[in-house]
Amino acid sequence: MLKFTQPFHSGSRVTLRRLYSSAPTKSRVQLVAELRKLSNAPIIKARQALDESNGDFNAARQWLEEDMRKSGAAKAEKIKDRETSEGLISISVLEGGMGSRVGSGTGRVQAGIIELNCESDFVSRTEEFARLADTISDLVARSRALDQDTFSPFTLLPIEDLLHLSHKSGTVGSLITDLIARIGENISLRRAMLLTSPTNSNTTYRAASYLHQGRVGALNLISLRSPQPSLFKDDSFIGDLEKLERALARQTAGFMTLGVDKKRHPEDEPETILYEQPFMMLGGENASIPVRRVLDQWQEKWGLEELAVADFARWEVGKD
Amino acid sequence: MLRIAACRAAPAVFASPSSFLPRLSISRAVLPLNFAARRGYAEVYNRTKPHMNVGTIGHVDHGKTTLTAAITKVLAESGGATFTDYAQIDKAPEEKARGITINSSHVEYETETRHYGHIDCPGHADYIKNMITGAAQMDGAIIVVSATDGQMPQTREHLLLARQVGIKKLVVFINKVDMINDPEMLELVDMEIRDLLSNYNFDGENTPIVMGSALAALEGRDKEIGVDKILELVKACDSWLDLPARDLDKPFLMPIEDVFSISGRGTVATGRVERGTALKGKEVEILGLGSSFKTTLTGIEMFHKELERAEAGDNMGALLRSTRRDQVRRGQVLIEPGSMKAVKKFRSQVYILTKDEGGRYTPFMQGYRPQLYLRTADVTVTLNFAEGTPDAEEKMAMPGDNVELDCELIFDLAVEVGSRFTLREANKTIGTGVVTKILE
Repeated sequence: MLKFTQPFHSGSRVTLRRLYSSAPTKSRVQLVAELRKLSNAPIIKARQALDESNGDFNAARQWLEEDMRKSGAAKAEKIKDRETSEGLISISVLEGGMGSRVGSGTGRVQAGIIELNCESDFVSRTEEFARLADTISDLVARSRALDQDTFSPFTLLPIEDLLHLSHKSGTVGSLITDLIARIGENISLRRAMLLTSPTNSNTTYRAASYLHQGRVGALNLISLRSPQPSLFKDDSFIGDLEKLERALARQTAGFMTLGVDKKRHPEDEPETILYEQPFMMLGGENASIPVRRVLDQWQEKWGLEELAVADFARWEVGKD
Repeated sequence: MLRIAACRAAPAVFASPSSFLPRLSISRAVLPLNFAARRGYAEVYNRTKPHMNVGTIGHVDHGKTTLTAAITKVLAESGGATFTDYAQIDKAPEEKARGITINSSHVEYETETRHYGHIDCPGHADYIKNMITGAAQMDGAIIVVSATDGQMPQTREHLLLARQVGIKKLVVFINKVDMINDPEMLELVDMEIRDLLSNYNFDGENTPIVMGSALAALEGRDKEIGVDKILELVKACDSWLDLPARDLDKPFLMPIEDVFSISGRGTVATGRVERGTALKGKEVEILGLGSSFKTTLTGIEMFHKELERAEAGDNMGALLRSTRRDQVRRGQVLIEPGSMKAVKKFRSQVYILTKDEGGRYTPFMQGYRPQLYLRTADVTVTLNFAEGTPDAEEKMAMPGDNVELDCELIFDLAVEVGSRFTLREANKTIGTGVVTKILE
């Protein structure tokens, strides 16, 4: 942020300082500078806000907020056709499932994954953009799917509905136009998906996720069947399981994973099948053993009846 | 034996236009046989002014492309450029450098004192790729900021990028001043930018900030904020941005390609002089691959001729005093004594090629050991994430990533900051990188 009090600037700074001290109240320039610090508004807007409010700082802030809504919408409309091929994947896990430290730790899994796009990777690297992506994925995780697909734990959410989803001071749509107004690039929510665990009485579920520089994201649904439910209260078991899950999510993201145990298309390469990939992400002696075999060994070690990747989503920015 | 050197006379692809000077010098040394080639070179470049590369960095709507077009238009009037209009620059075509796909557009122009290569890329990643491959190493940058917006959240990212690609000095162009028309506000823009520059360790106080309108210059109206300001900007680049050292002015370095033993004369190492000048009778140092020693350059031979000196760009045979053939190997370098050090560990910025670029399709983890190719050397290297990277043991590098890696070689090599290398495994180029810091 701007630091006007830093001592080592001469030149224009000095003249401005003098300007400040000779004026009984804060100068217009200083007020504009402060408005910008608070709102990140363009200079021209900050000045206009102050002029419209007759120099009243608080009124100018309000004017800016209102204008941001209006002009943001206009700006967004103007640039809405510009290509957005950069951006971020964001994942939010609300309920991590049985024994999880994320959420209630009861058997429920609830998580969201979204892709938010912008025009340049300069913007996707800003904090503001990342914060917006996280806010939206969190809202997605909290949403309820209306027509839940009974066959898949993943539900793609219609973007139009999401844009109307309300948030503290507005909607997802208004959050996006606000940022467009401040950043000046087209921003679009490309896709969003909700993960909820199926209700299956004798299987427990957990969620595992990994984000690679915001560019690639994997969200896995892990299913387990154990003869002794108390296992999920055992810290050493949970610790070991979490390590395995992290590795599974990294594995899914790191490789070009397309399917769990079978090819999505016949022409796909065998490495696209999660279970057949060498489990590189677990490292050590497992690095060259296929994922499924490592899972089998792990299952045996902890006396489980089943340990599987029930389903997953692997998204890459700008790809399908 | 010198025929061998002659065969290698065809130079490899030159990484940067700055090596065109040496190219001319090859043709000077070459006899009529290569005459045709020389004519080819002469048509490409004939200039006496020092060269440097600048890039424009800024928000998409702040007028980078308009500014670039305006510079070429204004300088075209003095014969220093060919006018390139907005549409021609805006395309940022895909190009390949070292097998890597980069989007960037290039124009060039000349001022009274310098020749500039000017690049513009659509994104952070493209500038980084340019830096890593050396395709268009930026020696300076012009940051473009619109007066109507002032600095924006992404301006920070622009400055971070400039730092990351090793730019020490930049010039700021505040564009669209005709749309704000309020000296106080312009002063505020100026002040904010200077503050931001200082925060990112640039010289905020002295960095030239030029305020004008690129569009006015392009449309030939309002001379005092148009053409005049473009000329002022160009002048600011000439006086404020530092020229990179010319290859010829750097200390002598010749990567050894081959070694021969010639009866009655001794050991001859051949290679292409990368930089500097070699003088017959001078002391030289052989460095790298576990053995480093000094000797005297008793002879320089080039194309069947004995010479007193060889310079950057020349293919030469170096006759080394009382040196056995087995003391010298391909992969070592011949240098001006003390000008470089052989190191085993360094930090680097590396781009991992995607499958489409011919690279890996799987990620790799800490401890991965491919072959590192640097100049004529190839040595096994252990890759680790830069020290201090959180959760390094669980971290991976994926195709398409730009990563900071610590490289540990099994043999020492002559390496310095700015040295470029490639990483290969099983006949596949999996990454390409540039040294950013020497560790050991």
